Amino acid sequence: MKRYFKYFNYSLLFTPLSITIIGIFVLYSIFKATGQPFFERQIVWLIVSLIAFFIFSILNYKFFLNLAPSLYVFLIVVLTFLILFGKKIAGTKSWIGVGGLGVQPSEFGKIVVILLIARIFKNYYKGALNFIDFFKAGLIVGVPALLVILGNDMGTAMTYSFILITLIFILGVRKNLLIFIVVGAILFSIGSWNFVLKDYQKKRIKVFLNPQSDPLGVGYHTIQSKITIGSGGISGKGFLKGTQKKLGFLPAQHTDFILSVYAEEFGFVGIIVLILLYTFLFYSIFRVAYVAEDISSLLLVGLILGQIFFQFLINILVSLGKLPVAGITLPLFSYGGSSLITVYSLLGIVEGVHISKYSRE
Amino acid sequence: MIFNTEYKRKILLQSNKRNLKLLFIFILFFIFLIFLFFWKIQVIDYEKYFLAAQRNIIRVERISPLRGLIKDSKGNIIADNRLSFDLIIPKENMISSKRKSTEKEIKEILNMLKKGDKYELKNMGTYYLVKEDIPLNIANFIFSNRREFRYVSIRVSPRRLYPLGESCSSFIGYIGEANLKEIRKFGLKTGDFVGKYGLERYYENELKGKAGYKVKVVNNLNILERIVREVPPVAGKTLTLSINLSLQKKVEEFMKEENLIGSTIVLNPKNGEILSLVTTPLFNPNLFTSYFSKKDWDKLVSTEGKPLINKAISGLYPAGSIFKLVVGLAGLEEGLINENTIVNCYGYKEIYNKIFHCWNAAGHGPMNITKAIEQSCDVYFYVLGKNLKIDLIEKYAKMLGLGKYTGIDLVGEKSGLVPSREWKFKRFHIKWFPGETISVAIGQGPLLVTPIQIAQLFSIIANRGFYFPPHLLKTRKNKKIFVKIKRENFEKIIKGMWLVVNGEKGTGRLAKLDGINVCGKTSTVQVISKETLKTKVKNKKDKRWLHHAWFGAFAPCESPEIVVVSMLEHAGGGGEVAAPLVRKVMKYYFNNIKENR
Repeated sequence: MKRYFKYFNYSLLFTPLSITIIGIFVLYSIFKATGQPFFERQIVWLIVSLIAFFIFSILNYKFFLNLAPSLYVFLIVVLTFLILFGKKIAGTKSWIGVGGLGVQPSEFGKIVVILLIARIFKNYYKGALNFIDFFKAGLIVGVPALLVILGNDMGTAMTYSFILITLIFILGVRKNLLIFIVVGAILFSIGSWNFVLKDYQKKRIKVFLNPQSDPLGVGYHTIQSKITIGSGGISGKGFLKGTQKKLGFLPAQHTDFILSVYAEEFGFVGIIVLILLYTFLFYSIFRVAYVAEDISSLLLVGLILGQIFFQFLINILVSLGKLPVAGITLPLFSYGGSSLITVYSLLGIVEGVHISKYSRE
Repeated sequence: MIFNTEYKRKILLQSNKRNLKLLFIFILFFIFLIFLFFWKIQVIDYEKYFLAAQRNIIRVERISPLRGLIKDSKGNIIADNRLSFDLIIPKENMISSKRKSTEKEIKEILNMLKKGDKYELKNMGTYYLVKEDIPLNIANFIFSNRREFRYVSIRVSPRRLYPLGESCSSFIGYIGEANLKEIRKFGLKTGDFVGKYGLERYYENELKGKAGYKVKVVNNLNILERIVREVPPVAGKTLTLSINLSLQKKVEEFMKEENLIGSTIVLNPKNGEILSLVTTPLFNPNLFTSYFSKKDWDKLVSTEGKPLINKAISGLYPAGSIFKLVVGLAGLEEGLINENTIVNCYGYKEIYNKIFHCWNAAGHGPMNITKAIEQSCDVYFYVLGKNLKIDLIEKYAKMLGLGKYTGIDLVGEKSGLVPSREWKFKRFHIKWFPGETISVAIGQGPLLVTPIQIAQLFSIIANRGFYFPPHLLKTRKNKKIFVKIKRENFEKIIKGMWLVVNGEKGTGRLAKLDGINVCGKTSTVQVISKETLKTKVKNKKDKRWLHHAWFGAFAPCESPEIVVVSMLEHAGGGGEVAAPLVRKVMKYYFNNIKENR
């Protein structure tokens, strides 16, 4: 335990903690304006998340890597169970009730999938990814993602794909496989447009390309989000003083569009502070991966970095109106227990990797 | 083998780290991009989004002001306001999700109105107008059944009401929905009513009042959060006119009784106040205060006698014999004639090798100026006109207010035309022929006047040399204007005018009143020459070929209180038709109005 604190990387805990606390202030501001009590619950979730962080950082990550296959099986069972017997909450069958607070196994599933991928590729000495291994990874990510899609939660399913993308990034792919992936992705898009995407999802994409075509419908979100951000200006309207948030022009303001609320009240200056915090967090994670001595820990930390970063990127681009509404929250900042616990668990794993490297020396 | 694997592992780890570094550079690049996006939206486009956020929450509701009242000199209301109930739909109730329910409610209400189920939505900014001016009982029903009628609304707004109907339409004019030009000129909003003609137009700025407004903050469902500011509307000013309503109504009645088309003006020469101004046919200005069908409009416009045109100020007519007063004054003032100057009338006169006929073919015999006015002898004025020449006639006509605006407080006044050498050359590029002066001397030729100019001319004569330009607004104080003609010359002309009414051979004897000295002058304007009527016209009985009848008068002669001028289109001889009408008006005035004043 002494060693644990000796080698503890504080930036991996306090950077995300500052982000989450700022987020709680924003949730408080929303509470003041609308009476939605998300900030109180988020505090509870943060406490749970910190516990998860310490569990994952204290227990050796290798322990979890070994546990990964059985956890994966368990995940598939739970997700299948949910599709068959789960109740629909907020349009999706992905929730399990825990004493009034719901959790989404699909969120935790990302930890399991990342662990399993890192385990499988821990002895991957073959250079760039080949077809067979790519399919192996695709299958591991694809099965739970498909179950999540069946549970009607496209947003979360999309975050699963970030694992695959990051994997390709780190291991690299052979040229012909890259061509295959690009062609496959295009075919997949066309296929999903015709068979997978629901009408409302198609409409989102169509309206995204021309938001003014439906200013009070689907395009409304995008337009209102931009108005909210833009009207904040350089210094913002001041804490608790946002008008857009207050009068309910912004939808999903505690989840998908929480950054817009923040931007309205704290302005461009606030955005600089927040994004620099994220950047520092990404750098801290990157450092841990960069000094890794084996592929499995490099892969594990790298995948976690990719997971958090891509969620961050997509959420912000949606808020800015650069991407259609995707239903992806801002990690560490948005309201959401499962997501918060998941991200802190992942950061706990990174902390664990960091500590075990130095404690070995 | 182990070494080989270990070596490979190291190499691969290095390459993976290189990739990882690339990933991090990729991350930094996107973070930089995100900063740029925020910079653009929050710093560069800040103003745009700030205004959009304002628009999101601020709704400004306009409160229409009451239009100013118009009253006669005794305080009787001529133009009033009433409440109108308009069926409207707030715009947010027409978005796709609510449209069906809204349309169902509209249909239901239209059924109650029994006016067919076709309707048009008129875009009024924040709402659509469905039906204007729905009956009170239906508006009430909608109000009291708010649960059933959730999407439609009733807007209560003031509307113009003319309680007298047709009466006074001659000078009141009418209102109508403001067009783009008027919206800009008077600072109005779409759908506002604006004075289009008559007093309603001339005093638009005074009458329109100032709209009030409520600034409301609403939420995303357009539900009121709070009222930020409320400014009540300011009603337009009340206009008190010099019009005497009972006289006005009486004159209207006199003219309607005999189906006369034309104008009658009664004014007080001592201050220029118009006591009554009637132009027939009358129309009902209430027609213009709400929805006005094209059919009604077409009907009104095609009515014989053009009711929508104020002929008292925009009707251009030859002056005829009334102009002899002007020529006579010019002759006396210039010293070309005096009361002893005699001209013999043989029923015609040859001037510049052309025969000019007197209206009395038998001839009037020896004429001096007073007799020539009494009997309206053309020959006397042919000779005088020849001596004066066009330049002096023009000078005096203009001095006496002809050929220029009187400046009456109504819109659409015409200036008329006093011919001159300059005018002729500009208009036709040829010089003036002396022969033309001869017809101008008896008020024919290109000379054109309006009835209001003649009424003003009669005030000048009645006052013996000064006048106040005519006006309708009681409080409008016009300057006293002097005319440089000697009083004695006016007296000579007035003597002739007295004879017109009271002399043995006067042309206007039908205007004579017992106990009051009336002075006047007749004028009969041929609209077609006798030869043309004989040879070229088929239906000789057609009213269109009848003469225009003028009669102007003032009384009492010694100290005139009123001037009455009547101009009747295609009615016959001035002495036969117009003089009796003027007599009736004067009689009514002296019996009923004078004591009350």
